[in-house]
Amino acid sequence: MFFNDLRKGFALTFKYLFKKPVTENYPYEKIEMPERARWLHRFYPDKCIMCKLCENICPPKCIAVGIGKNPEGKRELRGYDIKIDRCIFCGLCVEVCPTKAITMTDVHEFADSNRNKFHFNMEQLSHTGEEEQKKVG
Amino acid sequence: MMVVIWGVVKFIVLLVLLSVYVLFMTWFDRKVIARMQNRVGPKLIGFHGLWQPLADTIKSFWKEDSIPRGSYRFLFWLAPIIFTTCAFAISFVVPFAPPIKIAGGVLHFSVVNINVAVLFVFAFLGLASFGVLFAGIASGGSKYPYIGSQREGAQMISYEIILALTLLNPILMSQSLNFETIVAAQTHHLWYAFYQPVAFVCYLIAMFAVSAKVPFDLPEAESEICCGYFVEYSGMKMGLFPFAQYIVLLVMSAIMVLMFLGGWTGPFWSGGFIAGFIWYWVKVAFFVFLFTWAWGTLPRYRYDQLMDIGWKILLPISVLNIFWTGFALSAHLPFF
Amino acid sequence: MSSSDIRTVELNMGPQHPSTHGVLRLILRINGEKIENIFPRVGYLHRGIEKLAENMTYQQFTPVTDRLDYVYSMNNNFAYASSVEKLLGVTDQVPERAQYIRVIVAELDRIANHLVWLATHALDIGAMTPYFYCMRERELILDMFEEISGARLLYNYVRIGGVAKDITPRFTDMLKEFVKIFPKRWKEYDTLLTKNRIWMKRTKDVAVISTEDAINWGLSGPSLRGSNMEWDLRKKKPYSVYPELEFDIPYYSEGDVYARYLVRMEEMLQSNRILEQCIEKIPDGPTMMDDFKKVSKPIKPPAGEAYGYNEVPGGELGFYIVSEGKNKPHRMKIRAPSFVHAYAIPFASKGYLISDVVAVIGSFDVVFGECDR
Repeated sequence: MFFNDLRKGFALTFKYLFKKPVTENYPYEKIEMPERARWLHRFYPDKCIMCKLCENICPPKCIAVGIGKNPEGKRELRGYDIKIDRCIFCGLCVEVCPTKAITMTDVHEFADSNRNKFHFNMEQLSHTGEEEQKKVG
Repeated sequence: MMVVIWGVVKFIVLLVLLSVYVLFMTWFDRKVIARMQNRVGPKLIGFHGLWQPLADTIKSFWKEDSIPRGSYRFLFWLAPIIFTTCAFAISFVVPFAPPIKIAGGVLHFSVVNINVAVLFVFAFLGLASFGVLFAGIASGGSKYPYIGSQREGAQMISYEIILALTLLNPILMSQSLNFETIVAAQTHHLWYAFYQPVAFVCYLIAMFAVSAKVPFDLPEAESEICCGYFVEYSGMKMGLFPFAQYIVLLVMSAIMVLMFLGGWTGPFWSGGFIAGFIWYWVKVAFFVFLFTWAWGTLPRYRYDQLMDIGWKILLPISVLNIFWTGFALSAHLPFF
Repeated sequence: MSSSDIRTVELNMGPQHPSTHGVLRLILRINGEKIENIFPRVGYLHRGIEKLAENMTYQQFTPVTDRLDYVYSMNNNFAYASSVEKLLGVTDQVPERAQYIRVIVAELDRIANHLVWLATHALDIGAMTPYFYCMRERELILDMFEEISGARLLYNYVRIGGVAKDITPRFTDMLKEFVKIFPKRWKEYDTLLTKNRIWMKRTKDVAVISTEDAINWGLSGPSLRGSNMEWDLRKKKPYSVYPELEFDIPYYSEGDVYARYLVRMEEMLQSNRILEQCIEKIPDGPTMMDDFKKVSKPIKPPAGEAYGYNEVPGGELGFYIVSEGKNKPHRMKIRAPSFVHAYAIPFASKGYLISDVVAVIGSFDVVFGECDR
C-alpha cells in the first residue's frame, strides 16, 4: 500500500547517482589487451616453410600463400596475402602453423572506410604493430 | 499602451529563457539518467558536456528535412507549430517568481496575469494534443505515427479530466482561478497538499500522463511503436516535439507547486522576493528531477492499463474527493 | 469486402524495429491495438550455415558455430564439440579438467546470455536502467572470456576433444571475484523489476502457455520451464560433469511472461552456484585429448550418424551429424531453439495488444543468428 516496490527501486537509482561510473574512457584511455588477444596478424617471412596449412584450414579462405620457384629451381615465398575484411579472427591459422610464422597481435584499431585497405600483403603483415611501437617511443 | 509593451518584453524574455531551459534540460536529463545507470553521459563538448545540447540543436537545424510523399503537407507543417505554440501559451499565465510591489503597482512575473489562468492552461493543453493528433494523421497513412497519435489523443483526453478534477479542489478552497491568489490563500492556511493528499497524488500521476513521460510514455514508446507520432519527422521539425514536451513538463511541475505546495511560501525563511524565488524554484526543480528519476527507474504501462488507471481508479477517486471538499467547505470543518 | 476486413490493419513490425531482437519481421493484423493474427517472416540473416558445414572439415566448422547464436557462443561450441565426440564415440575420453572448464565457460556464458536477455527484455517493456546494470556485469564475463580465448564475442574456445587452451591463473582470480559479487548485483535487477507493480502488470497473465501447448509447440529450455514442466537436459539427460554438480531446476506453473522471467532470473543464481562448485572441484591435468591436439589433422568419424544435444540458455541446441567416413560431414542439421520459439510467437500473443507482442518476443529470447542460420 505504501508503494514499497516503487520506493526500493527509486532508492536504488538514487544511490547510483553518487557512485562512480564504470564507463571506460576508451578512445582517450587505451584498454589493456590480454596476452591471448586475437587481432591483426603478424607474419614472419623467414620462418615460413610454405606448407600452406594456414591456407587450407582458414574457414573463410581469406589467406593466400604465393609460392613460386627461383632460378635455381627451389620453392620460394612470393607473397602472403590476407583479406582481413573476410577474416573471422578465429585463430586457427596461428594454431596450425608449425613454425609460428604467423601470429596474432593486439593491434585492433585499423578501421577504414575503404575496402581495398583491408587486403594486407606480406610487406604490411610483416610489420604489424611496429607503427604503434614507434608512436610510443 | 504600457501594458502591451510590458507584455511584449515579458514575452520575449520568457521565450528566450524557456529555450535556454529546454536546451539545458536535455543536458540535465541525459546526465542525471547516465549517472543513475552508472555511466558518464555527455562529456566531450564543453564542461561535462554542457554544450552538447547546443551542438545537437545545430545538427538538427542542418539535417535534411524530409517530408513523406503521401503526407498532408499543410498539416504536416502545422502539427509541430501547434504543439510548440500551445506549450508556450500555457507558460504565459504561469508566474515564474513571486510578484513584487513597486511604485505605482505590482510587477507580475508572468506574461499575462489573468484571473482565469487555470482555465487558460486547460484550454491550451487540450489544443496542444491537436498538434500530436495532426502529426499522426498528416504522416500519410504511416501506421506507427497513427497509432502513436491515437494513443496520445486518448491519453490526453482521459488525463486532462483528472487533472481538472484534482485542481478543482484547490480552486474550491481558494475561490480563485488565478495562480497568485491561490498561492496567497495558502499563506493563510497550510499548503493545500496537506488538506488534499488524495488530489495531490492523483495530480502527480496525471501530471506524468499528460506530459507523456515514463511510466506513461505510450505515445512515443520507442520499443513498441518506435517513437510514435513523430516517426516521419526529421530535423528541427522533429526537435520541436520534445522541445514543447519539456515546456509542458516544466509548466506541469510549476502548477503542481503553485496549487498544492504553496508556490513561493516556505515552512521557514519566507517573505521577501529572494526567499520566495528560491523556495519556488527548489520545489519546481524537485518535480522536474522527479520526471528524470522516474524515467531511470520505472517500466512502461500498457495502453489498456493506462486507461484503467485513469477511468476506473483516478476518476472515481477524484470525483469523490470533490464531493468531500465541497462538504467540508460548506460544513466549515476545522482547517477548511 | 466484409466488415471484418475493414477493421483490421496490417502493421509491419521489423525487420528494423528496436524490439524484434535482430531481424525478425512480424506482420501483425491488428484491430485497434488488439492482435488478430501474426505472420512471422524469418530468414533475413540466413547464411546457409548447415550447407557450409558440408564443405568444411570438422575443426573448421567450430568457429562457424560461434555465429549461430552469437550471444552464447561458448555453449554453441560446447554443443557442437560434444556432438562430434558422440559421433566419434570418444565422449568418455575427454580429460576431466577440460570437462570442468567446459562447464565453467558454459555456465558463465549462460549468465551472460541471460543478462543480455534481461537487459533487452526490460528495455522492451520500458525500463531503461536494468539494461546498463546487466551490461556492466556482462562486461566482466566478457573480460574473462577474452583472457582465456582472446576474443570477446566469438570465442572458438571449446574444441572437439577438449578446450583450446588451459585457463590462466588470472582467469581463476576473476572468476572467484565474479562469483562473489554476482548475487549482490543480481539483487539490484531483482529490486528494480521483480516486485515492481508496473513490471508485474505488464508481464503477469500475458501470453499464457499451458504445459501441453508448450510441449506441442516444441518449446524448450526456460520457455518450457515457465509452463510448469521440470525439464532440463543437464539433469534429465546428463552430459559432461553435470551429474557431479548440485543444482536445482527452477520451474513455475503460471506459463506467462512473468513465469519465464522468474525462471531465467533463478537460473542465473543456479549457474552461479554451479560455478562455485566448479572452482572447488576442478582437477589438474591435460585439457585436450591427444588425438585432437593438432587442428590440421583430419578427423574421420566412422560412417554413421549422431544427435548431440546440449541445454543452452535458449533451450535445446542439437547437432544431427551424418558422416560418410570422410573428413567432412555429409549432412548437418542444427536444431535451434530460437527457430522453434520464433514460430510460437503468433500462437502465444494472439488476442493480446501490440505492447504484449514485444514482451512475448523478449520472453522467448529469440536470437536471429541462430533462427535464420
